[in-house]
Amino acid sequence: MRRSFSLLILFAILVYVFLYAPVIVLMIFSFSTNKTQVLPIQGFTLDWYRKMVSDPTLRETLTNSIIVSSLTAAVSTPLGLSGAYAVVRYSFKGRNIVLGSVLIPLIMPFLVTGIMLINFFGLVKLALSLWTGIVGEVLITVPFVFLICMAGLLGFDRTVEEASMDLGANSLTTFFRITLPIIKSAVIASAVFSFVSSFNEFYVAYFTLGQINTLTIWTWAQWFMGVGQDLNAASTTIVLTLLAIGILLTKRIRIEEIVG
Amino acid sequence: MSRRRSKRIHPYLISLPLVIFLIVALYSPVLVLVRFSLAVKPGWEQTLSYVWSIVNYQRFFFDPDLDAYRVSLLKTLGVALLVTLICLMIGYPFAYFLARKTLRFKTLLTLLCLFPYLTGYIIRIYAWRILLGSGGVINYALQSIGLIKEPITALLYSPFSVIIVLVYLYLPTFTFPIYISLEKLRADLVEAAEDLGADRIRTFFRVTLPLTSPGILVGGLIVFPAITASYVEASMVGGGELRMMFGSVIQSIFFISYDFAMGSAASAVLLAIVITACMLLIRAVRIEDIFKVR
Repeated sequence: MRRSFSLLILFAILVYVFLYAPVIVLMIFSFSTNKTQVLPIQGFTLDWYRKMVSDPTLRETLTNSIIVSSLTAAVSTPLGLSGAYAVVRYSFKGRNIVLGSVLIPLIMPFLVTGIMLINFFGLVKLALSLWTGIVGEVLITVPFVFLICMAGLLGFDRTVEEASMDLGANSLTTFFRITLPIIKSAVIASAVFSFVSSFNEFYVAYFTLGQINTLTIWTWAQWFMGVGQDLNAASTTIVLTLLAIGILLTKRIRIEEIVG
Repeated sequence: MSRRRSKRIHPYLISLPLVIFLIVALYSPVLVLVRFSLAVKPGWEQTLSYVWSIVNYQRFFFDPDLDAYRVSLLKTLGVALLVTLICLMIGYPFAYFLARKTLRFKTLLTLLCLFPYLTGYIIRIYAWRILLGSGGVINYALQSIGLIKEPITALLYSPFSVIIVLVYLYLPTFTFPIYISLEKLRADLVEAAEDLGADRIRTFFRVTLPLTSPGILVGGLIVFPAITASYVEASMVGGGELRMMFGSVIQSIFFISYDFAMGSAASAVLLAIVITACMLLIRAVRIEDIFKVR
């Protein structure tokens, strides 16, 4: 008992090391004077951060990333939530088709998703823009929202909804006054998840956003031209900022509430 | 009862936005992809001639000049399978840890797995070059403790680096569905098995593992397809046998040869393989089951 307990914890520590080693290495190099990312570290400097702050491209791409991810979360959360509500609370003709269809983008290779979308936009003569990009990002995040909200909706006692209806509230009132507050954690979690995954996502964004550079697309372009140190500094700063926001958010959501 | 029913909004109305979105953004583009794959690209022109023909598929499967396509497809499917299995071996015990051993730090420790995502896909691959390169952290550390004299060059630009990077990229994605199904598993079932005399290993294999298999399935359904079309990793850290994944093949047919018909056919083949594999798996389990309390 005791032995397996500590072995598992040791294993988990190793997994965290695996997950964080690359991030930590990036952070360390962002403060170094090294021209290339090779050890040993020659000295420490804040030059890369200064460069980053004065670099308009980086600010622009970061802004773009935040705009794209926020809009994606803002569209895909209500879209997935309403779909999940219909599927969980009602049985209707075509219910299984809706359930199956919404999960297809999940199992589609993202490269194929991106390519089929630009083919489609090209055919209907829709110029690639922020909006086509949002369509692409919503398409790949909506299954996650759907699944998380479905978990939330399946996880609570629906007799409280019926009680509200019996007491004379209509379904809209019941949804906003009873259901939504109960599954609040799941809704917040799906919004956060949409934001994070479209922030991280490369393939679909690369194909569908046209001329708009997000951080991920921009780093890919940088990589072609030979990556600079400012890149590390940039990502480090972003991670730290978002880490702080994330930790703040944990006070608002409890993971057990979403899945339990 | 009838009173309550009349006040309910019709389910079609509620799911309408999602259904319209899926028709526009999913089904129409898939139809376009299939239509393109049955068209032909005449000569050097970029526009397709919209005849109905299966010549692209014939060439994809039988043209001896396109051997590289098929080899790359098989290799990619193999890598995807291998990475999915490694993710399972690491992800399952890790999910078990998150669900059972974290106590009041659960939310924080679970969210900690998400934070590396915030550096972005490309940066997360790039960071591994710093770790694995011949002047990189791992080689430097091994050299300074005197374990090796020359840097191990096989760490980077090799199948090894592609696989480790893919595991790194998809491990958290794989862990979450398993974590959810472990959370859903009722503790009394495990206790019952133990009370009835099963040892821990037997309980795990006869009770816990079967009841959490939907979580494993969902993890696999997300991770395996994603890997089959990823090409960025191989072009950044790949080498040797894994210099190029099938995603690069598709990408080059589209944007180097500009053969949208052949490219669509190659994409459609990949899509068909992935969806068939997923459907076969899905038949074994209902998606809703992962969220049911068992």
